[in-house]
Amino acid sequence: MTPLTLLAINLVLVGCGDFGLHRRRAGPAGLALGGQDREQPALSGQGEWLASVVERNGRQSMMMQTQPLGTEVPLPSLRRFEPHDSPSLSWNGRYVALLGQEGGGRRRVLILDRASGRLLPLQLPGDLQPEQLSLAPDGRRLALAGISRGRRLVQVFDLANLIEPDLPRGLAIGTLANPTPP
Amino acid sequence: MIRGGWSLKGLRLGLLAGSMGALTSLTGCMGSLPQPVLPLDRRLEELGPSRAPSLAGPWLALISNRGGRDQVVLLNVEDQRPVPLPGLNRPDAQPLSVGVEAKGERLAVVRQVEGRTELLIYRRRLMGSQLIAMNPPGVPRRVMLRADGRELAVEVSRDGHWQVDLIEIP
Repeated sequence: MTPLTLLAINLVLVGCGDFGLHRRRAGPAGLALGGQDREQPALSGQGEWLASVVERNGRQSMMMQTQPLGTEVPLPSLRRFEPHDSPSLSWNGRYVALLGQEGGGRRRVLILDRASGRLLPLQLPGDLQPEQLSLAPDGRRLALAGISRGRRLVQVFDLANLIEPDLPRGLAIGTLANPTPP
Repeated sequence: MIRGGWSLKGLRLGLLAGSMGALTSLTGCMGSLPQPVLPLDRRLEELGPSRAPSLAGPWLALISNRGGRDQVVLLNVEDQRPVPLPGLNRPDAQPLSVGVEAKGERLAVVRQVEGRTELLIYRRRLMGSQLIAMNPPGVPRRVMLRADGRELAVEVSRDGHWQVDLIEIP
């Protein structure tokens, strides 16, 4: 592609409208949440699952739904860690990573393996107070944003020794490098 | 007496096993210890204060503050190198949220420009952005891009409430 062609495409793209984009509001299916807030959306790698944060019984609670039907799947093992924050999903929605809170008010980074039901609280080295997270879709890494010694920073952690990968459909476990769906 | 000697050894072994068991239980209570990716963390330290991470494939997108100005940064986690994003970081824009797909070709960004908040898709190969209007009208805040890059989910302030819109990407 020549630089001139690129420039031409660029000029067309910038400021180009988005008429015809298929869009929808993620309805709060399964709950009478009309008029309530719904925040912090996270889609699984190919969009079969949507996690978001809604208010339930006065607390921020993560809601996990199938897409596009919106059927809610309850995750009772996470309830005792409400309020929830910053959910993130792996490729097939097997892993749910999120910030939760313990009884003493201490924030925890949690990873739920929906295949086994195992809940994995992470013990962070150092004094990072996490505020936001992002789970790599294959589950191999986790990025945390937070405050450490008064400084706002992002740290990345390797989860390879803690959880097995969750790869897109059609890729065998053990497939390396940049998994993208077939 | 011989039995006593063995008992002492057994006691020591028992104590050792007991301590290890207690340590394991304690670790279990405290949680699993993930390993930091140290070369990457050092590179992130160099970038300055950072926030709003998005991981997908080998890519890490985030917002970092360099020289007092927030900008979108895209790093390859494998070699810790930032990749250029020509045309994305305008001097008059304040990025609020960023999401990246697993191929690292497209980024979804929410930013403030001249008092308005806008959502856009940036394509690296084309070095260009496409604005995505909120319909019905609303103010976007946090965005995430599906790992396969085919849809984005965005938090939108509309009629005094936060809602979630799902928008397919052509």
